[in-house]
Amino acid sequence: MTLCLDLREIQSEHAPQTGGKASSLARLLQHDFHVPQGLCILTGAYRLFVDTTPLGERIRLELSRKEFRHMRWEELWDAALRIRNLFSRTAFPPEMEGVIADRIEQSIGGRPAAVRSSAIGEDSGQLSFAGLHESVLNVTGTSHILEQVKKVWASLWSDAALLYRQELGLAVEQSAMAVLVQQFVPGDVSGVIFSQSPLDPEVAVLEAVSGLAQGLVDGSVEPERWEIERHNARIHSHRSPLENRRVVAVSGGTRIVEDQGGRGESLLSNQQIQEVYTAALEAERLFGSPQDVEWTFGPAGLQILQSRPVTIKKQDRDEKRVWSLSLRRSYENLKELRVKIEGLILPGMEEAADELSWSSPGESSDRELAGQLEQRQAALDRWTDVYWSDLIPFAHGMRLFGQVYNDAVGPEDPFAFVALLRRDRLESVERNRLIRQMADHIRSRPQLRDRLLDQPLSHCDDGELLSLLEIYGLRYGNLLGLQADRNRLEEYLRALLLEMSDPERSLNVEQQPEDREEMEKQYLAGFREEDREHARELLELGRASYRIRDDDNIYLDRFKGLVREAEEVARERLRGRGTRGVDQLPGEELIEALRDPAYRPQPLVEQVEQAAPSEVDARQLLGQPASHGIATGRARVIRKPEELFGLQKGEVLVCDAIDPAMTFVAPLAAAIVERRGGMLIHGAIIAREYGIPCVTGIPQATERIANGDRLTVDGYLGIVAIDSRN
Amino acid sequence: MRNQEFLDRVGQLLDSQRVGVLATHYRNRPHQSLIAYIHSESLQDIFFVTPGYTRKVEAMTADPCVALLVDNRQNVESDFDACIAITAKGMVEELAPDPRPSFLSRYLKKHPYLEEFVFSPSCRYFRIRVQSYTLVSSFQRVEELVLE
Repeated sequence: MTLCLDLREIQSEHAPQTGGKASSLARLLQHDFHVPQGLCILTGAYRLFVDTTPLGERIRLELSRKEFRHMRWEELWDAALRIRNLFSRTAFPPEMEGVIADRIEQSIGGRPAAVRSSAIGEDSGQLSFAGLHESVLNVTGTSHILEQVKKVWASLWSDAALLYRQELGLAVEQSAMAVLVQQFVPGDVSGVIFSQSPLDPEVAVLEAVSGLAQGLVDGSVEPERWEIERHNARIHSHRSPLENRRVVAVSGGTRIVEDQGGRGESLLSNQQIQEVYTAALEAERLFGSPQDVEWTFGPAGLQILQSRPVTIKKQDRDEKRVWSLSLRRSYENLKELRVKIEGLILPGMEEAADELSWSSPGESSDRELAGQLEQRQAALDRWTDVYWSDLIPFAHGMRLFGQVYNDAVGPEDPFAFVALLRRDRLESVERNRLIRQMADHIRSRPQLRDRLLDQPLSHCDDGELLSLLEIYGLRYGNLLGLQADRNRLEEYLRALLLEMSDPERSLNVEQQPEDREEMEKQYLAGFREEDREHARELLELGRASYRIRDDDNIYLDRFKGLVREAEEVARERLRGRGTRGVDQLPGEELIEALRDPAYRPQPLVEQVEQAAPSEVDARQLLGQPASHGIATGRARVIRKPEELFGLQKGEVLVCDAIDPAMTFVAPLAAAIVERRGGMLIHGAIIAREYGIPCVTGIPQATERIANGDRLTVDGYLGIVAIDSRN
Repeated sequence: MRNQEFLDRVGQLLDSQRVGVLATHYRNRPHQSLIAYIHSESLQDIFFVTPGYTRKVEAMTADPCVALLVDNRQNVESDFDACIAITAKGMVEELAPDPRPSFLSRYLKKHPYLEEFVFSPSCRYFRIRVQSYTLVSSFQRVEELVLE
């Protein structure tokens, strides 16, 4: 079986085994274009690798955990990361490795190489799939190149590719990917040219960036741009470079650095522009259609890196998918985002919340209260938008670090890196610690505890407890920002503190991650000396991402609490006026009624959707193993936030989605089961902090499990077994 | 059929299949589950792995008497004459997890994709000490061999 072909050996009939990219490059090379030497590892090699190792079945098992249509973006990320790890950890069958290694030696020798995907159908059709699969630049040494080949293969199952699984026709049994291994060209200036603009058939469009083309392809460097008239090859328009940055190669990848060259100087001479334009026209003639050509000027002059037909990108109408794809951020982008979040967004949220807290709804007139409610709702809406546009995408920092960590260390557990991120104190853990402090205080004073059994918290005469309660109130506001009157909230807190201070029961405590220093050393050892600083920066970014992922919700919850506080006062007043159905009225109706005493809002008729009755009983549910451990306990199903206060020590918390505000019950729970899926969501994070098992991504968890059911939660395999029904 | 011929056919069938149906019972109710197994060369033992909290473990703990059905049916008409089914009956026992039982390396050779599952702390290891094999072929031919 032929596993590899040199670019010079590839013929048109090989296309199904080489993919479009390799096929085009081979044709260009055979027509005397300057194309970097190299070889194509054929799709058959991928199939052989997957079919002769346990990988094929393991990918199938991974993808069958949950139906695709039920998978959230985070779950797709997680699945892709696990598959990537499976590829990395699966050894080549020795004979196959020998054959491919020999061919790489012959073709590349000891020179640095570029390892790029050449997927079947990648560049055809109306949707362009460019960027879904991985390419790795500047890899030296045959064994390293072979490792990168596995990563490029794994990118057949990248999270982005999984989003387009239907269009790509992804199927474990049939899908395959070819890989190009070419000599790497350390380009000084690089770019792309459209031999014919998709928007104006009279011109060609040339874009160039300093350094490697990567910066242009992923959008991290703004290019210099020319339009060239096709009928006379004259420059029709020109836009100067906007920034002085360039993408350079570092070991196993690329980085953006400040360019040393003069600002504002053109990157290409007129002669070079004509040279690139001529090459693009020749490629257009060769392939018989306008071409989108990637090129670079290296030590040996102009080299063509890729040529594919110009396609008009069809707008993807799947908004959810477009949004999910927008979450994939580069290191540079995340670094800038972090500065914005830490310097502007979080302080801005704090300041805005402080400012809004100055007004006291209880002491305001109806008209003033309406204004406060409006202001608070507007602030909540605004910061919720910021949460989605900036804070959620920043979570990608954790994943970016996870991938880099897995590449450097090759751990058995693809999520082992999370232990390294747990360094800084999370706001939610700090808040939980304060609750714990109150509980410990009560526990150490049995008489106080006895009194609290039938006395409200605020009536107690214990100065220390009262001052802790005050600190708590000032720092975190009401528990959960619940929509309930103060007395009821106090009751909830009292019940929680009594449960937590029960001398018969021990509480879960935060776990100290083991060997973190050792892990960090091991991680850094995976890099060359000159790349370690960058590795440290990535770790730092990952840690910030982990911390902010949790803290941002606490910040946002302050606004929710402020809105609820004002709404509660408004409802109280309207109730006093005899307005009906006050509890169901939305905020805008409350505002209207406060401003206009004559306004009579129509009470809402609640539409309750009746689910079709089912007699099929779930016995064992499959989700994601998000925190290791096994625990058995009675289920406490949470449908409303206030039900959290009923949780008793040793029960299994079953809920739709945990947010950090809810995590104060983690010291009591035996395990956590969550409908929302993901390895890095709040439920999973907090479970790991407290060392309790957690399974996430159980569809309809709160419907399929009933209060009191006896559950075994297997946080190793992601299984929730319903041992017996209540 | 001679003993050796019978055992050869049993061995071939066990080799050719990956999973079988394990029958247990608990509180007078039957229970069946699919398990991925391997067998010893002597055919006296069959090994499998399962999480400790499953029904079958509960049932086997209460009564270790089990049966395992393995067959090569393909859901085609010719199954009626060509399909072979064996039932291994015996007593099941749990194997200590530490040190790791020696059958695991062979188990992973047959089921390499189950590595993560097999080494999960939630899984437990079991051996069926086979007392007899029943072999059904050609639709209604039934033969049985009680092992020594």
